[in-house]
Amino acid sequence: MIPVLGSVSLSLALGISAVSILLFSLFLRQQDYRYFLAGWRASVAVSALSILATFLLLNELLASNFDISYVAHYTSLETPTFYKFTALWAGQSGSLLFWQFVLSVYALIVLFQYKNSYTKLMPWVIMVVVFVQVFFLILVNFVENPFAPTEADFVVANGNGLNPLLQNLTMAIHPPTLYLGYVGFTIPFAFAIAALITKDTGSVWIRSIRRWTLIAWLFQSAGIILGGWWAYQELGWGGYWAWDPVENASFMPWLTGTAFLHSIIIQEKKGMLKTWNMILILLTFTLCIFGTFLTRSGVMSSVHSFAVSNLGPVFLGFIALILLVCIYLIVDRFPILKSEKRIESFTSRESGFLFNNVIFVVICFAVFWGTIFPVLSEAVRGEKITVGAPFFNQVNVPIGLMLLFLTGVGPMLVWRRTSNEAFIRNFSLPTLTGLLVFIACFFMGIRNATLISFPLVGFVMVAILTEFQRGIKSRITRFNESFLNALTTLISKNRSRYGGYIVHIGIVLMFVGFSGKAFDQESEFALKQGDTQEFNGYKFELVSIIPQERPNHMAWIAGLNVWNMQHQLVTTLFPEKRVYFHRDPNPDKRQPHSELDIYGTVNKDIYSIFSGVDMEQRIAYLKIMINPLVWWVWFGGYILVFGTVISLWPAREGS
Amino acid sequence: MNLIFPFAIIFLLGWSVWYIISPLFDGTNTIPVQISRDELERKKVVLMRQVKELEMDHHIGNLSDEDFESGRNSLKNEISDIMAELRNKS
Amino acid sequence: MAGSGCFLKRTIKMNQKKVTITVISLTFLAFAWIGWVTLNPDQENPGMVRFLSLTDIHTVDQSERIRLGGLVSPGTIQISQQNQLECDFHLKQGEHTVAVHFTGTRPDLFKDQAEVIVEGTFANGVFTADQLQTKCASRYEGDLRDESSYNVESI
Repeated sequence: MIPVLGSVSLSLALGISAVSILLFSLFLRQQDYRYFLAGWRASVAVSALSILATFLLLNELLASNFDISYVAHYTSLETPTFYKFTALWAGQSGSLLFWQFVLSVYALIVLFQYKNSYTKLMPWVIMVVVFVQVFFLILVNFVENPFAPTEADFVVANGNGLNPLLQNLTMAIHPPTLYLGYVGFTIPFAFAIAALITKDTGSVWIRSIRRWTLIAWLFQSAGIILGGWWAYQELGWGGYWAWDPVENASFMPWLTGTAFLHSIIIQEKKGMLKTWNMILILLTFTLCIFGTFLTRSGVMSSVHSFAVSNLGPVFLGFIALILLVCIYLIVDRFPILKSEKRIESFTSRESGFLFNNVIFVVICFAVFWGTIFPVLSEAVRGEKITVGAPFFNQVNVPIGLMLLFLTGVGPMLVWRRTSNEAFIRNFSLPTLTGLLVFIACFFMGIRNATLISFPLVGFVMVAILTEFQRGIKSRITRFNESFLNALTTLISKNRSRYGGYIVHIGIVLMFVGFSGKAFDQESEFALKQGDTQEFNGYKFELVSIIPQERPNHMAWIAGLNVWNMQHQLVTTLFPEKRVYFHRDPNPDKRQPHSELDIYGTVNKDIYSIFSGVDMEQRIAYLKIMINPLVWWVWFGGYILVFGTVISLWPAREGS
Repeated sequence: MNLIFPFAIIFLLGWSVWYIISPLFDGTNTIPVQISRDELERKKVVLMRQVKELEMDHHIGNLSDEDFESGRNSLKNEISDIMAELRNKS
Repeated sequence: MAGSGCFLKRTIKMNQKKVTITVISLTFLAFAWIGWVTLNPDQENPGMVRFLSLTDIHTVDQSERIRLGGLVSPGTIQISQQNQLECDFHLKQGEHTVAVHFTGTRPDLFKDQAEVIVEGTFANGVFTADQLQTKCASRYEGDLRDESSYNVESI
């Protein structure tokens, strides 16, 4: 009965969303405020019903109602309660409903935030959001209904269960975080479209969407970093980023979203780049939808599977519709989007922003190109080609380094035109630092891309610190504050700017981590118990292999002593080989899994994978990787999140 | 047990419909004055913040004197326009 | 005074043109770079690898890295006695089979009848692979990286 209630509320939500759009159209035609109020309530009802449906599905997941196909596919009686909960976004129809759920939560926040503050934009903003909701409601109503009954001619006693790879805390929070990002870009998109339609090009709405964009951006960034963290900890190939289509799908809107965050600053301050901003937010939203589609449809495996998945045509149709409408609007409103001012000099803050935007979009295009190249190649030439990480690395390393360089240059440029004195004043110390680091790296014998990246890191880091120092100095002279006082008030009174600089510091630190990749070492070997193997300045000694039976799996635990060349024990690693469902009579249904162990330091990670075991001869097959500087990626990630939160923190009223 | 669910669905439907259409029977059909005042107030706050940022940029040396003057003057004009409009509304 | 203002305006216009031209040429350069990498991949470690069917395998140059997909022929897996990391097996694709020599850690799901994808070079009738991926267990339809990056049924 609850499934029926769920289905009904989803259908009802779809019906009411149509009513809501109708009411808003009536309002726009007749300017009768009562229609607006009714339309507002209708959109509240749409969101409330979608949220209700999500809770109903959640209830069924927790109650293990295997009559629902989705519940039977993604949970079993053995699945721990927490993972029954996370199964909500483990599969296709559930995650589409979850999309709708998140969008509804965002929609409710917007609806109530602006409840008592009508502006010309509001009816259009709500209508765009409801329109996106209609799309997802159509999907969950007609294409992938999460409440669809199990199709089996027998009673399903137990479900399939959740993949052990997904039974991991990071994996439980990574998808919702990413979804909060993907979905969050709907709100700035809706504002932008509303502004286009109502021909409002002022800086006020830009202010209000900056916050929303930042929120989406925060979740998107955190989601991407968590995904990398999960891949590094669980998947056991020693890296955190594989340029896999699904990863790229989340990275592309992040890139355009970041570009947008930068370029709206110039629109706000200078009234420039209005058309460009519209294109960017449109691109970001489209890429979010495209990303959901890539993740969910399996189109990347082959163009043939595209036809099999019934999601494909619906998604592509929706994307085409958005693009057509938006392009029409942008072209039609082109005259009013004209810049109020023009870029006057090469060495201006404005042109710094412009170049940064170009680079973001170029990286995005490179990623897009590599992602869809296999599909294009198969469709056009009939030849299957896989595009792997080396392509993306080769293309993006030089462009990424240029972006890093601009991270340092941009904030030091003066608006409109940087005078020679300002140029020398701002740039001499960072440039000197960069040069010194370069010389140091050169004499240390470094000859790969890090010969460029480390000096750039030094340059940008000093540049950002100089920026802080200048702000502090200004406060000290103006308000006679102490150093510490000046620092805190500087940040708290200009949160969005200095929060942004802290984000830059995070990015720079992450680049330190990315650079470490150039020094990665790996080796695979078989070790008999008691034997040792030397690798990269360490000695690995297999001390023990201990079998252990646990509630839902069988584990073999290798005890691996790591000695350095001075015969000191560095650490003992315990990578595990596991078999889930080891009691299943059908060997094909058992699921082997390697649980790796990492010894992480600021300097380098020692990464061990226990890939196979031979208990008779007591041999363990091991893969060892030495990954320098990976720690900095995660540390930079924390700083990035911290900086974004500072930017977002609401300023005290009246200040 | 089975009887409850049809009622639940009817209730859901009825509630949604009533919730949505009830404002249509209200009296006012124009946008309340207070709301448009709020919009102007918000605009004013945004512009005042922009002036603050301009001052800061100027003092750090990221904005030349003439740009600062012209930027501040145009923002101040906008603010006084809004203030005048607010006075008209009250 | 008026003259200098005019001069200033002209330099502004010139600078503006310079910025526009730089942006355009930079974008052009970037696209050229992307195209160049697409057409001239790194020989040692190519980013783009052709995914072939077994019928086309004999047309391939010995030095070219390629990918093959198929099933592991039952009973053909032989693990080397000297080095446990080396193994030989036959890859089956419909009627066709090819001998594969693989060095490296075997994935968890590598066994008879498993759907696998190998990457390496083909020479003298043997495919020497240094990468081996298996398709995820059918038990789960979870959203996993391996599952979404290839699809063997459609070959």
